[in-house]
Amino acid sequence: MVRTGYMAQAQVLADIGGTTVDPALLGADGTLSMENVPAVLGDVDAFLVVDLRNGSPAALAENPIWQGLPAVAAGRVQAPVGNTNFGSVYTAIFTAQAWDTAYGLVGWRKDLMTMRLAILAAGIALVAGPAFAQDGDTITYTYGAFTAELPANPERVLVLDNRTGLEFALLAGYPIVATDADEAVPTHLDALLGDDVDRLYGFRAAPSAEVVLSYDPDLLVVGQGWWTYWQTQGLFPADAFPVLVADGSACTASG
Amino acid sequence: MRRLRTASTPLLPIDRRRLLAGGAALAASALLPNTSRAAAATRSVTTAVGTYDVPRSPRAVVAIDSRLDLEPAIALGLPVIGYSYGQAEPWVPVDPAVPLLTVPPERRGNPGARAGPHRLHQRAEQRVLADRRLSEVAPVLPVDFEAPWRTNLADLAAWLDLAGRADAVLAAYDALIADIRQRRAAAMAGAKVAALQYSPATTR
Repeated sequence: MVRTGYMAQAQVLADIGGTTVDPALLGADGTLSMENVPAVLGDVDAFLVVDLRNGSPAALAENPIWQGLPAVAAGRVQAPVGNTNFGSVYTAIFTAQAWDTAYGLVGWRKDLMTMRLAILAAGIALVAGPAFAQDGDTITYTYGAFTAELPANPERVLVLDNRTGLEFALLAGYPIVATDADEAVPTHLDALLGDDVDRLYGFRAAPSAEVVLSYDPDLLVVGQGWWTYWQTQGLFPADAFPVLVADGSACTASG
Repeated sequence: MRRLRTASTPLLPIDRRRLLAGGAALAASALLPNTSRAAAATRSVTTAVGTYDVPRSPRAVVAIDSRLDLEPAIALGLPVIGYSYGQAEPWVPVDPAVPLLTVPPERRGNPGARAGPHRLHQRAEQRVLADRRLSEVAPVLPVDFEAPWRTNLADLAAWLDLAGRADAVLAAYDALIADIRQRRAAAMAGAKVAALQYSPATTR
C-alpha cells in the first residue's frame, strides 16, 4: 500500500503550485493499494518517496509494480533521507528543495524531448524535401512521397541502420530496442548501445515485417540508402511503419 | 528539583523554574512566578488546553512532540532545553547539545513499525492533553497536527508575541518557493508529481 497527497509534502507542493494526483482517485487518508498503483500513478512524471526510517524506500524500489511505472523506470524518483511527513519551516524548506530536484528531473526529460525535436528538425532539414510539423505528442513527417505521424517521444525504437541512423538515434537519446548494426563490425557506437539492445544480423539484406512487428516499435529509424533500395526493389513495406529516414549523404553534402 | 512523569516517560528530571513549554505541545517556564515582577513579565494566553500566564522571555522550553513543535520553537528563537518523541531530523538546526529526553513506548525498539504517523500523533496529543501534570510544571502551548505548519507557527508566534521572528522565517521560505516557481515553470507546466510513502507490510 502507498499513501500519497496527505502529509506536509502536499502543503509545500501546493505552495509551489505543482500538480499532483487527483485525491478522488485515492482511498481514505490518501491510501492506494498496490494493484491500483499503475492506473493511478502511471502518468506521474516524477515521485518524491518519503523515508519513514524503516527501510520502506528500499522495499518500494524492489517492488515490481513500482518498477513498472514509467517515471520510476526512467529514474525520475527523488528519495531524500529523513521523514518529511510533519515538521515546520525547516522541513518545509527541505521538502521544497526535494520538490525542486524532482522537477529538475522532469525538466531534464522535457529538455531531452526538446533536444530530440531540435535534432529531428535539424536531421530532417538535411534531407531533400522533408516536411516537419509538431502537433502535441506527434510529428507529421514527410520524406519524398512518404508521410507518417512520428511520436515526439518514442518509447521503442528500432534502428535499421548502422551508421547515420544509429548515431542520430543515439544522439537523440531514443530508447533503442534493436538494431541491425553488426557486432562483428565494431564501431565507436557499440559502447553507447546497452546490453539489452538486440542485434538483427543481416536484416537489411533480408528485411522482414514479422521481425519488425515482433519488437512492437513505435518508431523505425532507417538509413536512406536501404530505404530507397527497399522501395525500388519492393523488398520491404517500410512505409507501413512510422519511419524516420536518416540521409547520410545529405548530411555529408551539407556538412 | 521536581521530577516530571508523562505518559510516555519514566521520571524525567526537570526543574520547574527552568521550564516554559509547548506541545504537540511546547511547555515553557520562566523564573520568579510569584512576584509582581513576574506578573509583569508574563502575558495571559488562552489556547485549546487552557489559559496560562506565559513568560514574555522564557528561559527554558521543552518540545513535547518533536515532529511538530521543535522546529517552530527553534525558528522563533526559544531556548529549547530538550525535546521528546524522536531524534530531530538532520535538517533541523537544533543544538546538538540539546537532548532527546524521551521516546514514546510505541516507538521504542522499532521506531518504523507502528500504527502510522496520523494515529501516533493523535496518541501524542491525547497524551499531552490528558496529562495535566504537564501544565503544573509550566505553561503549555499546543500545536495542532491537523493544521498547516504555517498556522501552527503563526499561532505560537502570536501567543509568544514573536510575530516578527515568524515573519522573517516565513519570508525566507516564501523566497525559496518563489525561486522554485520561477526556475521550474517550464518543467511544472503540464507535469504531474506525487509524494508517497510505502507500507510494505500492508498489501491494501
